[in-house]
Amino acid sequence: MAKVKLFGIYSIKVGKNELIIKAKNIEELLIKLSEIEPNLTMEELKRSLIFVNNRNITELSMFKTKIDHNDNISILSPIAGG
Amino acid sequence: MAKCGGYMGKVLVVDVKNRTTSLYPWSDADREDYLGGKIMAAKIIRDNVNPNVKAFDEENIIVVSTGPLTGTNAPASSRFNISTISPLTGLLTSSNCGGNFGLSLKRAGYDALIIKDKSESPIWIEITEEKVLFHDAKDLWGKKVSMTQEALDSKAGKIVIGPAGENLVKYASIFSGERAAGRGGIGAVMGNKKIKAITAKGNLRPKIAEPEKTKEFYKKWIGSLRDHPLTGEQLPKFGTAGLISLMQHRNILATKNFKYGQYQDFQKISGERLRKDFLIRNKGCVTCPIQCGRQVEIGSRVVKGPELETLGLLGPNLLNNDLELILRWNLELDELGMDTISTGGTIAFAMELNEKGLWENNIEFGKTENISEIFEDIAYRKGIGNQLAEGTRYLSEKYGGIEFAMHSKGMELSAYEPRSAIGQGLGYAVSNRGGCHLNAGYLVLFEGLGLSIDPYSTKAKAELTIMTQNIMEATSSAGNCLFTLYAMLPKNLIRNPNSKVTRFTNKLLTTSLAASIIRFINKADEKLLPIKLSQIPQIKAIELVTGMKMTIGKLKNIGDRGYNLERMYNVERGVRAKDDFLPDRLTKVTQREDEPNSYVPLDELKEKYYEIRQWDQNGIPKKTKLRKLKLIE
Ligand code: SF4
Repeated sequence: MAKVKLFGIYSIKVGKNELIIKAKNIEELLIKLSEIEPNLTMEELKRSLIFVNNRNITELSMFKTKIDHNDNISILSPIAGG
Repeated sequence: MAKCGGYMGKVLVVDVKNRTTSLYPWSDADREDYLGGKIMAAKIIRDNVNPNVKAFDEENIIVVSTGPLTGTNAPASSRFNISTISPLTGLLTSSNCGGNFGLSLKRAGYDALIIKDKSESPIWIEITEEKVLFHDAKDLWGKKVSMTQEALDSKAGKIVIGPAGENLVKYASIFSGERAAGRGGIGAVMGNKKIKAITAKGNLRPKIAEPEKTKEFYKKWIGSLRDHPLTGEQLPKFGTAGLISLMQHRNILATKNFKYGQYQDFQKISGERLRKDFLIRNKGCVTCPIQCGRQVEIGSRVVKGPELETLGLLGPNLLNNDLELILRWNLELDELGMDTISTGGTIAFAMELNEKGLWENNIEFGKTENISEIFEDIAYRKGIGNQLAEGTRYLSEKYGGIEFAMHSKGMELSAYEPRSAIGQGLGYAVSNRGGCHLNAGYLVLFEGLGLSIDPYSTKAKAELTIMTQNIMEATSSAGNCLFTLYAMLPKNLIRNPNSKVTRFTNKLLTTSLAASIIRFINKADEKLLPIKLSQIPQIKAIELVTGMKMTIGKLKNIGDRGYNLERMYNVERGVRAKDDFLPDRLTKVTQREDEPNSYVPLDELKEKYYEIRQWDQNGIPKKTKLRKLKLIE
């Protein structure tokens, strides 16, 4: 079970911005998230900034990055910078 | 009179001791070489203020200057600059402001204003198209910022100081409406000259070289700002406060006097929380389509919301997670007329001195009850406030703790912890202004906020820093807000950080190849870069407005000239390589246990930076370079 937190534009779009989701990797997690929160499309989520325990998935294995029990996942809208 | 469009063609000199006025000679050739804003001010100060002059000497002058785009309806172009000798750093300082004074000064017929000498008693100055009047300000003296502004003509543009400026707090600011020229203690210089306020009013407008084409071009430019993810969505929706969450994830959120780059309670003070619980509406500077400012509600009052810097330095850096309190403190500091960044930085340092037993002062991390009182004590120089009013550097010289005194050249650092953005660290150290994120070159935009280049690699960091410093310098001098430069980053790279193209770009930017290309651009003669980059609309805008030929090569060189001009003057005031400094905490202690490179390798970065800037080992610009920039014969 991973703890997922949503930031930036996503925090406006969804009801809850903290969810617990069970998934084996980021890809699966995003699919499940888009099912729970239909306001967030898969396409949009794939374009987000994703951190697993504070590491950007671009430094890990991208969408194939494995998720362990108790991992903290943060999803930030890609335009969170500025 | 100026032949160049965009300018009013007059620079007003006001002698506040003799209460006389005159005009300062400033030619079209000067306009071509120095544009306006902070570069113009640096030139005027270097030509008129002997390097031995101190901030509070009557020989110090204040230069308020606009750019050619100010007052031409260009987007985000109401910004104006104030430069002087800083009481905080002892060097040339400049501070940029988004209030309406710059615009009004142009409407009154002037591109810039030079204030000379010192009045014997408090005055305020009224500038109109026809005249300049000196008024007694005994009734205004002592008043806070908003009451002072309310007492003056509501239709005029104004700059005013609060009690902190009157009492010579070394980091007192100047206000124009809700907007501050916050940094460097310029408010104290105005206070020392006994000027409480200046107003400007008129109906004049600058001539524009190509009026129709300019109008068309501005329309497109505004459209592209609205269409860009940073300037069209992020800044309007969350303001700069929206950066807190990303800074946390990138380990660059200065926490507990920069001991850490992350704060466990960051969500309590984030831009998301600000938007959800306090935001009433966006607000911004005049003529700006971005509107990055916030209006928030506390109690039943609608007031200005905090910027990222304020949130960071009065929140995580003091271990304070109470957002409502930060909103109140922001208001209190604005009313007293004090820089939120330097105030937060100085208090954090005092907290650490206390924690380490170096100075018993009853100021503690996480303890918030006495902070409002401390603000007042600083502004009125009461009790320990009198020492805090001198800033971090002073306290470190008196009580020790130099290794964790978070300043550069005497100016407290902004809220970005640079050990996980080492290019930003280099910028802080070499910046002419001192520890300012913007004058540093704002490389953090590439190192995690907009792009994701390797924040720990030294490759291309010096090159990129120089490039961004030069472009920012010139943009600011044109009168344009630096945030418009965010749109310089290609939309697709920002919109899709996971795409192959973005990842490739991030990697590419820290390779030897990129370093060589950027180095070439930095050093290139302007004739070698004769193009107009559509990513930097300022280039075309300046050409259409002024009628001067403008290219990326020329714009970059104007910025380079400005940066070197300020450096040269600071060198004349004694600055050397040793002053391009960061405290040991940032250069010798790693920030993250899992990242051995999370410190700023300053010596290595500086060496490269000096070499590309063509400064010698002592940090002094070489004669060949100065000659090329037309700064010496
Ligand atoms: S972007 Fe923000 S700071 Fe810049 S001009 Fe617009 S409102 Fe002012």
